[in-house]
Order: sequence, then C-alpha cells, then structure tokens
Amino acid sequence: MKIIGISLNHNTCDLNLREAVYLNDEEKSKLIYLLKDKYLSEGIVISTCNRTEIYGVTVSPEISAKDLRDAILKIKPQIEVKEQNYLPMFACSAVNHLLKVATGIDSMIVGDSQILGQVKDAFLFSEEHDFLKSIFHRLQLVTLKTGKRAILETMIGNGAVSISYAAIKVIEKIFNNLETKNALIVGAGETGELAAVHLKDKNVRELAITNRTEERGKALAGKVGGKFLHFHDFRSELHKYDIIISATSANDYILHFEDFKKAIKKRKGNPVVVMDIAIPRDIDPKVAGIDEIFYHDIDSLKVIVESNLEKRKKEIPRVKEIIEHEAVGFFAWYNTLEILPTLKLFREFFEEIRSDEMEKISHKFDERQLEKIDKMTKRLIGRVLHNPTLELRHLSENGKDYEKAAEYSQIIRELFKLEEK
Amino acid sequence: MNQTINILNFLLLLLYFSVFYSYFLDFKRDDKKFFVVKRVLLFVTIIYSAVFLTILSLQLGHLPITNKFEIFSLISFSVLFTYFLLELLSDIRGTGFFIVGIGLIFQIISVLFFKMETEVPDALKNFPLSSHVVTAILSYTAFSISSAYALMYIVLFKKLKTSRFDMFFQKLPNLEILEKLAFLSSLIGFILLTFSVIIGLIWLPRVFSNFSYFDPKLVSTVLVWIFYGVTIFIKFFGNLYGKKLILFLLLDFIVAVLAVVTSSVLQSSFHTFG
Repeated sequence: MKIIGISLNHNTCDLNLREAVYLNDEEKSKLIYLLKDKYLSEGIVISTCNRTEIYGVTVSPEISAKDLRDAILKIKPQIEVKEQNYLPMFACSAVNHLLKVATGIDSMIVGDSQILGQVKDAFLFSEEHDFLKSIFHRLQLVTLKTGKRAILETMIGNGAVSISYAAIKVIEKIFNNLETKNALIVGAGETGELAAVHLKDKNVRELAITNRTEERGKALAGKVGGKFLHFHDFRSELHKYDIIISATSANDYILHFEDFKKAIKKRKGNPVVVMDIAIPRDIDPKVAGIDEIFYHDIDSLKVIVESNLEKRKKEIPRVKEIIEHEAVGFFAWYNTLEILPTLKLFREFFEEIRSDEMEKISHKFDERQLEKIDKMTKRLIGRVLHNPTLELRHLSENGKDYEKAAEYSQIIRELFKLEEK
Repeated sequence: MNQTINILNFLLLLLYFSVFYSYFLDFKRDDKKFFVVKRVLLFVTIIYSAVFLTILSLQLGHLPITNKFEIFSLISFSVLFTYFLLELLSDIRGTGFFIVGIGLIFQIISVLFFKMETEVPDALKNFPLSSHVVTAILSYTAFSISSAYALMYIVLFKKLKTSRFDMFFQKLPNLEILEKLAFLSSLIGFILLTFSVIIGLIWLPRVFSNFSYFDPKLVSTVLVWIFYGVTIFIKFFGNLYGKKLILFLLLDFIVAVLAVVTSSVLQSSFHTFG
C-alpha cells in the first residue's frame, strides 16, 4: 500500500482556520481510531498552532488525501476546509514534507526549535495508540535522525529569532554568568512575560517584576518565581538591578535619564543592561549616553532577529541536501518492500514450472541423471531470472526510480499473471 | 645549514599565514568545517615550530635568545602555544584570529631579521641568563596577549554601545570574559617579569663589570613593571573593573612598547645581545 499525507499549515490556511483545526490529545485519539478503522494501517497525526497534518500508509489504493480531510472534518464538523486549504501528498512528497517539517525549514519561523520535539511526540502518541507499524517505525528513525542532523550539521537553528530572546543574547554578550545578576522586568504583558521566562531559564540570581496592574504583576512574579515590586516606587530600587527590561504599553517614558544617573551613582559604576522592548518606548533613549549603561531598543534588537532569520534561510539548501540523502535511504528500504513480494512470486512461478517438468520426466531417467537435470534446470532458471531480479532491485534501492520499479513490477505481475497465482 | 634553517623558518611563516587565514575564515564565515581545519592547522604549526626551535637550539649550541630572529621566533611560538592552551582549556572561540595575528607579526619580524649567530659570549650561554631572558620574553608575550584581549573588549564595547551587531558582536566572547582574559594575561606577564627582573638584578652585576642601575633597558623594564603592578594593585584593592581596567591595561601595554622601543634606541654597553 502507499504512503499518503495531508497538511493544513500556515501556507495553506489563515490563522483562524489553523486555530479551528487544531486537535487536542483527545481529538487526536479519536482521529487515530477513525483513521485506523477506515483509511490507514499506520501513521501519525501532528497538530500544532501552525499546522495539522496526517501521514500514513493506506489500507487500499483508493484512499486519497481527500479522505483524510474528511476524517478531520468528522472530528471537527463545525469547520470548513476547502481544497486550497490543504496540501495533499503522496509517497516521496509526503516523506519529504515530513522531513522538512521536522527540520524546521517548513516552519513559519525558519529553523523553529520546537517542531522536532512536536514531531517526536506525534510518533510517540501514535505508538501509544498502536498506530505505528514497521514502515512508520522506520520513518520515525529517519525523521528524528534528519532533524538532529540538520541541527548538528547546519546552522538552521542558530541565533535568536524573537525580540525577547535577542535581548537575552545581547545581555549574554555583556555578562558572563547571569546567575550572579539581578534582573528587573517592567511590564507583565506578553513580551515582558517572555523575557521573564527567558531570564528564569538562564537562572538569574534575582528576578523582580513590576507592573501598573498589581494583580497581573504578582501573577507573573509567581509564575517565574520572582518578587513583585510596586510600580509607584520601583525607581528607587533601580540600582539593585544589572538587567532592566521594559515592555509596558505606556504612552510616555516611565524611566528617565535622571533615574538612571542616580542609579549608576549608587552602583559605583557597575554596568547595567537596559532593554526597552516597548512600543512606544518606555525609557528615555538619552540614557544610552551614560558610559555604564548598555541601552538597546526594539529597533536595534530587530536587526539581530532579521539578520539571524536571513542566515537561517541561507542554510535551507544544506538542510535540503540532508533531507534528500535521508529520504533516498528511506525509499531504498521502502521500495524493496514493494518489490520483494513480486520477486518472490516471480521465482515461485518459474520454480513451479520447473518442478512440474521435472515431475513429468522423472520416470524416464535414473536417479543420478535426474539429479544432474535438476541442477541444470535450477541453474538455467537462476540465469534467466538473474538480470530482471537485479534490475528491479537496483531500481527500487536507488530510491530515485521508484515509479519505474513499481511499473516494472506491475508488468511482471500482469505478464506472468502472478496475482492469479 | 644556515640556508636550511632560513628555509625552515620561511616555511614556518607560511604555516603561520595559513593558520591566520583559517582563523580569519572561521571568524568571518558561519561554517563549521573551518572550526576543525583551523585547530588542526594550529596544532601542526605548534608542533612544527617546536621542532624548528629544537633544531635551531641544537644547531646554535644555546637557547634561541641572542638576537632578534631567535627571540621573535620564540615569542611567536609562545604566543601560539599560549593561545592553543587557552582555546583548549577555556573553549573560548572567536579570539584566535586576533591572537594568531600577533604571532604572525612576530614571525614576520623573525624572518626579516634572520641571522645565524653561533658565536656568542659565554655569559649568554648559562642558565641564569636563559631564565632571565626566557621569563622576560614570556612576560612580554603575556602582555601582548593581554593587550589583544583589551582591544577586543574595546571593539565589542563600542559595538554594544552603538547597537552594531555585526561579525565582531557575534564571534567575540562576552565583555566579562574578555576583561578576565586581559587581566589574567597581564597578571601572568607581571609575575614572569618580576622573576626576570629579580634574576637580572642578582645575576647581571656579577657577570658584567660595566653593569649600571641606570641602564636604559633596566630602567624601562622596571617602569613597565611598576605600571602593571599599580594596575594589578588597584584591581585587587581598589574599585577597578570593566572599561576602566581595560584602559589601564592598554595604557600599560603602550608604556611597555615605548619602553622596548626607547631602550632599543638607547642601547647600553652590556645589555645588548643581538
């Protein structure tokens, strides 16, 4: 049977549809039971915020990507998925697409570091649901190997590609060990939260949060294991912090030149990193003039993000080489699965004829003569089948002439009526 | 044999160029293949250099410390060897391009001043002199490395202040590491120079009858020692870190360079070997 796939992703669907089609674990379980029941003998289901995809081995040749779409719609009856909203995939294209997804080159942010883990989880989820058989077990190994090779052998995952992470990268160019530094986050919105999480991951010594809305600030402080500072008096404690990241939605500056001048005086010249990642800006850019302050705003950090994305894009051809190499290896194995039964039937067919003819002449010769004839006929058949066997194996194993190998296999089956046998 | 040594020295220069170029490519391009190539080349160059210096010493019958060619060969080797250990132990990458560059400059000087001197005064062949000169050479090597790190600090500092996130920003280690490396190198240089001065002050008056405490080389070396000593003292007992420390170290190195140049011009009768 054949490998097929379907992908609803950021290239084929808008955000609303992607959100609507997203499957939680319960829905994925239901979908797998449905697929197992009617369409696929084995496979995987990937569902993230940017894509929902099904890959599998069909139970019959008539099953198509449209059937997989219909299966999704049975789980999500309220949504509408038009033909242009999904990408149907067959054989090589399905495997190639899966490998592209795993390496992050098909991600919205090229080189996305989370996707390989999500693909790995999808395989594990299938395994738990007894939906992984020999072909997808093999594909699991190939996919994870390809993803790891892309990370290790190329720079597809290098560099910060979000403003918050770029800010952390700049901070790491100033301080060697963040575990000895104190950090203050001004603003507990989405950006502030992301920065706080990054800093927590870096194990900063003390993480403080201040926010105009106390409740929200305290919630974030609790989440990241930091302390909350009241918004009306946090300026008096500025000098205690080596890293200050501001990301509020205030319309005017909330930290001024004088605030930092006083803080630096109290710090006896110890340097401070100030990241203003708010729009409009929260901090008076004049503070950049103070020698001990490393000030960066969203525009300067954007430069890092864009340059890193550009570099990642340049790595795509190298990742594609890895994908091609691994896909060829996979199909060399996979195609032999299709060819082997044909070769077996082919040889059995000739062996049957030979045995039949041997039987017919068995009474005409003595045992010694029969033995010689038996050996000779076996050699004869071996030589007759040698070239077609080799050619078929070669076509299937090189991974590139899959269709030709399948065509030859079909011709042999039809000419010798092997199916009827 | 002189011709052979000269050819070997020139080949060494070519190796230095190749190491420098591979470090430059690694610095410039994000390509993992250069990482292995540069380390292999560095290792090969160090081995070649060590073998070369051994052959040279055997040929001369004394340590290669008696003229500019020999001394700069030794300095360039010690620069490369020190950096090799630093890279291996600290796993700090991205600074090799600068340090290997210093080694290359010294090796060029060595080739330019090639001179085989087998006949040297007996005084220059004994152990105290060897220790005195070798420790002095190593101390200036350490000061050179320190100044390279200090310069890297200034470059990165400027990039960070002006938000120019280019190749230097990406490849150089962080400011605190550069500061640490610059200071440690100067501290090691200071300790070595202290040994050199002590050995010199004890040994030179005994051997050279025309010894003078006002010898330009002696005075300038003591001056360098004082400058570095003051910086280290303030660092340990005062409030000196970050950019201020780096500026102090750069000032110390400028003093060291001026001291070497000045004392070379004002050569005294006894303190000149090559």
